Amino acid sequence: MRHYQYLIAILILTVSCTAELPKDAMQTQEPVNVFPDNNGATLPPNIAPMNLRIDTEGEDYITHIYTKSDTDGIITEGKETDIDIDRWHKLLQGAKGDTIYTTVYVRTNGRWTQYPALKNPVVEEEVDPYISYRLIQPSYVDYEDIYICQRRMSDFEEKVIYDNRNFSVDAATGQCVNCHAYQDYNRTGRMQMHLRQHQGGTLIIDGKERRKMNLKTDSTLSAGVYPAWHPTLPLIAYSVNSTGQVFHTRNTQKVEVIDYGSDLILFDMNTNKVYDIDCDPDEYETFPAWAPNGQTLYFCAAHYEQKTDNIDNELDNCYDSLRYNIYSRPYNPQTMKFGDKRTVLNAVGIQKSASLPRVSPDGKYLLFTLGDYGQFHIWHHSARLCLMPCDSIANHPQGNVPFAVLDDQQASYHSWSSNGRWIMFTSRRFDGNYTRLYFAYFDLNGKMHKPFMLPQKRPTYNDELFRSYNVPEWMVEPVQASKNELEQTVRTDALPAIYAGSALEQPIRKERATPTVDAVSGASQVRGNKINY
Amino acid sequence: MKKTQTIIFRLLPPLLFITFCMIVLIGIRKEYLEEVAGMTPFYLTSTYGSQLMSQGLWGIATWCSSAICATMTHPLLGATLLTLLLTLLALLLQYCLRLKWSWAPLCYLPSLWLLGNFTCRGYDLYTFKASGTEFNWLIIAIAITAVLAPFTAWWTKRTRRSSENSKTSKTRQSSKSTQTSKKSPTSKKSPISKTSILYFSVAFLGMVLMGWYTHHRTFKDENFRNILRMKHAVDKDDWQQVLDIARQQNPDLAPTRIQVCYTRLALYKLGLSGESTFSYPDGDAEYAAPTVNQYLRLIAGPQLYYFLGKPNYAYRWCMEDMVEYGLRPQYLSYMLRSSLLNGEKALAEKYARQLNAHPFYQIDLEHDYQTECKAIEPLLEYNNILDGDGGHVEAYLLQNYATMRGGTRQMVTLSLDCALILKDINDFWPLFIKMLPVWEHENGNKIPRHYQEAALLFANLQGNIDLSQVNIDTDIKERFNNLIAEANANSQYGDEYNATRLRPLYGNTYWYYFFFTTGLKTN
Repeated sequence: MRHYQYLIAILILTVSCTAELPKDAMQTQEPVNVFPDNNGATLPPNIAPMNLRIDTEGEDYITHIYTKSDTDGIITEGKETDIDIDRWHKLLQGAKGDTIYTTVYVRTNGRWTQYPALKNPVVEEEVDPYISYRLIQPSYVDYEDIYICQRRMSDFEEKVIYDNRNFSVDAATGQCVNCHAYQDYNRTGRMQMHLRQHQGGTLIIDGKERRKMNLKTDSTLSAGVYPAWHPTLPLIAYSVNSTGQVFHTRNTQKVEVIDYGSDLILFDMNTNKVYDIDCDPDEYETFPAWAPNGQTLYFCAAHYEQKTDNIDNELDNCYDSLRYNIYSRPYNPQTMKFGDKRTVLNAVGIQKSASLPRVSPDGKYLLFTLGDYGQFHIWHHSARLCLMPCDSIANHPQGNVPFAVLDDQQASYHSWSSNGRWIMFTSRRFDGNYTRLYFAYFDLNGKMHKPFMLPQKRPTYNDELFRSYNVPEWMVEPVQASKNELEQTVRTDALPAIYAGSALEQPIRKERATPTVDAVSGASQVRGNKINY
Repeated sequence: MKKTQTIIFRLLPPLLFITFCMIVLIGIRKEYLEEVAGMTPFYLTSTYGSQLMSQGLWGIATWCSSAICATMTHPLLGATLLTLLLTLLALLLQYCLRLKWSWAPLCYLPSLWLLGNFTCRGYDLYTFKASGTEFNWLIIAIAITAVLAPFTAWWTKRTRRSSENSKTSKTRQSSKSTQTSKKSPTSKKSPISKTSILYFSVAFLGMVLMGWYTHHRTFKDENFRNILRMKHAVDKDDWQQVLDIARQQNPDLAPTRIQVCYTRLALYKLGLSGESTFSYPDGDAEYAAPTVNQYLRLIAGPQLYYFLGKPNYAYRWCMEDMVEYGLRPQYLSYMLRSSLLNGEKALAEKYARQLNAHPFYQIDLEHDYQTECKAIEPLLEYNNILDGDGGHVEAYLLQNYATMRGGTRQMVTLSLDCALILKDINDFWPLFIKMLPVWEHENGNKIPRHYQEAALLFANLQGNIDLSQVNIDTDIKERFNNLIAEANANSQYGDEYNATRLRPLYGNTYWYYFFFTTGLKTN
């Protein structure tokens, strides 16, 4: 069998070596049409081969990938490139601080045409070796077909961490799995993820120790939803949300994910205790994020005062005027208490809504998405990646910090690589509906370069895939728990968390009107049946 | 003569089987075959292929099975292919088991069983989570018998040779006279011996009984068949065909809500809703399904939403069902159409690329669906709100349009139709009044019949409405007065009595619908 594989490898190598560049190619200034369009994107020196599909019509295709120092480079034939990984990495290593060129030759009517070279600068700084994401069809209430996958960045290896289909037989016994998150890029081996409905609970992985928790208590709005691991301590800040989905009748954003109530809690995994952080019913706090030093918690919040006894109806009618600011609270790890809330960004003041604050590992920048309204910007056409320097926050107590819009296309769910030089985000910019992963270099001057789409072994994969990439997270270490171990933990009973009061130095607690969430499932779903048929 | 008889006996089972298969598949289940093709993912893309191949042999079987289903886009082609494969299985089985012709009919039993497993299905097609695996066992059985066939041939040859050798050695020891007088037992056997015919008759009877059972198992629900016929006609924008099917409905069989919805959609599309809506069969017959489900949504939801100007909801339900039941071409088709209607070109192109990777779909976005979309565009002139339908397609559409105010002429007409169906007097009047100048201008002041009937009825019920300025036909007025008179005369009798008595005279009027068509539930 092994001999057979060698034979094939030698055959492929022989065939690939025989490809030669056309000598009499006619040069054109017309750009070649390729998918994905990564021309001009800055590359890390440890990225997988940037395979592409040539969409310019022709009878035959040759692609030449080279650098100034290695002009022979790689030559591939065919409409879709299948670049040899070893050869690619050798080329990349030699191109650090330089540029990789990709010249495409297309033969039409028997004549070869040479198109202008596509250029990709290569920088010294690497991306983290792994990422993980959820693969999900962008549906609204049905969710059986979900995987959480781990992808190695230097090649195309994709490993399924968790396969939800092993649990979902039908709607009654199915569950949603979401919000996988790691502490400090999984350096500590601590991970968490949620399951909703059947088998509901939060999986907490701490090295070899695994358990399922029910983070819902009688005193909190729901189980934990959007997580934020403390960078070093065994603490997770969560938002607790009463979330619903309502459907646009005409708008092509199609669905609106609305929080009809949300607070912040802190979970101590050593004691299984849950503390309130912010639980003002008139403030809709969500998306917590720790500063890298673990001494500040950032979060978003919208102010809304309920007027009737039907908050769903109220917010459905004014969803496009519910806007979120970014706030922060200082945290004292010794006393385990949070200090006073302060405004970081007054987005409401400029008729915008901010979401998903994420601080760079060096603590210098705050990255967030800004849209016209709401907090679930993944569906919003108006959502843009924005950046503000953290050191100017203190000088603008009203939250009027100047910020920069990094990209002019729809983007959401972003995160910093562990070295702070790469930003990963999802976007529906490719086809308007299925999110794809993008990676952009963030230079020392605070400028984001043109992003590239996650490379695939078969470049058409990104086109033929009918799932969205969701909740992408960087990882320095791969997930240690096996799929079987995770599945075993899912099958265990959830341990109840203990409510332990407020984590604020000066607690404030107002009564909420109508908390309506079931115990283990977490965020309550408000289905769109508004009429009694 | 013997040779001819042998040929007849040998050909009878396969010929009978092929005829039977074609009768069942094309004669009884033609529409179902077409529907199976639309509900089975089969794409010649590397991503789809590699997803299946990752499942190993089962994935390969699914790929082949899906290919068979895909050919059913053209039912005759699909039926022929399936029949040939089922026949092949029987022949391979006969070959592997080295059965003589007299027992050959028994080899058709597994094929008939597999055929029955396919044809016995109905509504569960829509909730079947393993689309494309319908013929996996057929593929596996063919593969196993095909692999075993050369082996059994070799084995038979070997055993025959060894038995012949032992016989030869034995005969060498025996006397020459005995040797010459004996002939081989096979050469002695007649192909048409009475025993053989008896065996054949028994085996053939078994085959016929299995055929009868297969026919008996075959799902023959008339409403289901009509639903599929209507659905395919809607797909092709053939509204007249939808009405023809509705008219052909067996009068003793109440239609399902899906049929009623399709019929009303066709009437609306042909501009006949105001004239004929209440002259077509109405009903809420139960679906002949093993489990209760939202079949209206599952079968007709995307079509109704799309053609009635709710592309987001058509898209939504295709997406939800795609999660549950896979990348079915029908879902992609309506996701594509909805995206086009919404102006989401890049998304439509994605779906078109996938559908074009199906061997029997060829979509040209520049030309296909343009006319269809143009006809729906006037229904899109409404403001965006956040809403939800809870999967109650018919009820949502009726409620949504009946309570809608303003919009294009097409929207107001639809609103008026929905108000009539909901017997909503309050919503009727503003819509009716809004349409009066339109009818005056476009229709020579001729108000469609059902609207006249409704106006007369509601005016009569409310008592304070003056219709003197409204152009009501004299014969409609007369009929209405007659109805009132008859109703007053028979008021002492119950509704059931009056419904039966008045049906021949007024069964096609809005009045009859208003008073006697009650209690129908969307399902």
